[in-house]
Amino acid sequence: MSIDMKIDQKLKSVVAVNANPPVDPEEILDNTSFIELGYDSLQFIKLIVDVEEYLEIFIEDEFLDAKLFENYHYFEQVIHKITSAKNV
Amino acid sequence: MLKELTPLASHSNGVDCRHLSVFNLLNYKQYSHFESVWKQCGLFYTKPTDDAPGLLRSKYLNIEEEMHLVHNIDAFSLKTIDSQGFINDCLKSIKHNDPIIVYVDTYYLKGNFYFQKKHMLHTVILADVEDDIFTLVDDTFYQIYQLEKTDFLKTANIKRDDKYVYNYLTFSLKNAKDILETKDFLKVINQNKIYLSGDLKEEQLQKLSNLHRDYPVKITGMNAITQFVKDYKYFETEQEISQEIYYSLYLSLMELANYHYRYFSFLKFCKLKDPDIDELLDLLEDMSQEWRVSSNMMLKAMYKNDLNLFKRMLRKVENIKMNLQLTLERSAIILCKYKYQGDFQYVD
Repeated sequence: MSIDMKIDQKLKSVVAVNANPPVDPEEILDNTSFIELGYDSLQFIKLIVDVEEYLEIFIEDEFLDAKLFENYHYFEQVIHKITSAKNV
Repeated sequence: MLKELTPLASHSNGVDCRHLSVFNLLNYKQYSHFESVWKQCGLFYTKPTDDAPGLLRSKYLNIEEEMHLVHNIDAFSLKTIDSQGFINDCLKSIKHNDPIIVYVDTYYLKGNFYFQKKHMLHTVILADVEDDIFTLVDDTFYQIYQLEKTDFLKTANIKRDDKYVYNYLTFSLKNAKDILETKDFLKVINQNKIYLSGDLKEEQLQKLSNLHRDYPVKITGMNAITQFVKDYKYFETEQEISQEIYYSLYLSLMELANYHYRYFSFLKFCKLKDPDIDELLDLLEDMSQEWRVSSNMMLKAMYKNDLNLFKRMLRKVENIKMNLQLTLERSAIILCKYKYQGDFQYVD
């Protein structure tokens, strides 16, 4: 299993368990929005903090705009970008 | 049940629960411009006393005034302490297929994530009443609740100005405008320019203070940011900042972000092909994002208890002044170019 696949699985599991109500990670698709998963801003930023701890990364301030909140695919892309930079 | 009243399928950026409830309700009433109705955007600094730090705010109109401004939508915010009168109005709204928006406290909203966790003022649309079961549509959390009458009355009994009331919104589109003209956009550009620049008359300042009764408005426009940063610099030397301060900063900065996003969305409906309008749109979008990032930084700081995030937020907010100056200049160029003559209309 590649590093990216492992991260994707970890990420999905954190997003799934923090959803309201919690969902099966398999239910999260690229176009799934965080609204559909029951996230509001308070819960979403809490998720960011959890993901930072879980994956031992730092999400730059500039990523905390509205776009990050839109759908799972963009969120995953940002996290991959950060983890890739960390692993270089 | 009101026909096909379900939560909105998608959310645009910069919306709170009230924005979403109004969008859904106006969409239900088949008002085609529903996504453009929120458009006010000002900048003020409200402080409890001259010595204490305060909060940045953007709101200068109440909901009735904002809906009426250029859209001519008649909105009514009704408050009562009479539970039976409130229930009667709810039943009447369903009977006449005329949905209302109800303010609720999430702490008592059964089925909501914050039920028995957190008191937050929230809005839902009343979609049905049958056999004393009240069906509520929640566009923020994409949920539908079915509450018994006692639970509905409990969550709808909210605190306003130290009194517990039932507060609900109704809308009439009888006089609403179907087509927005260039002069309508110019009117809003002019009005927002006045309230973003802070160049206000005494009666306008007085009205602002009436609107923000919790904290009086002390400083307006660009100077509001300067004073905000100056006041909070003091906290940089603290060991830590309380959760309450982080949270109130988050809320006020989020208001700034949302109101800038809404103004941006309103202007996008303008059909004029004009590079100056495009430039203004770019500036507003940038500022919306900057305010949004700043507010989210305060939430992150609250969860992590991280003072560095607070320090970085102050620098970010300070930097927004540059885009604000450009926004005011661009607005003036547009108003001059189209020879905008209309004086500011004071909406009572």
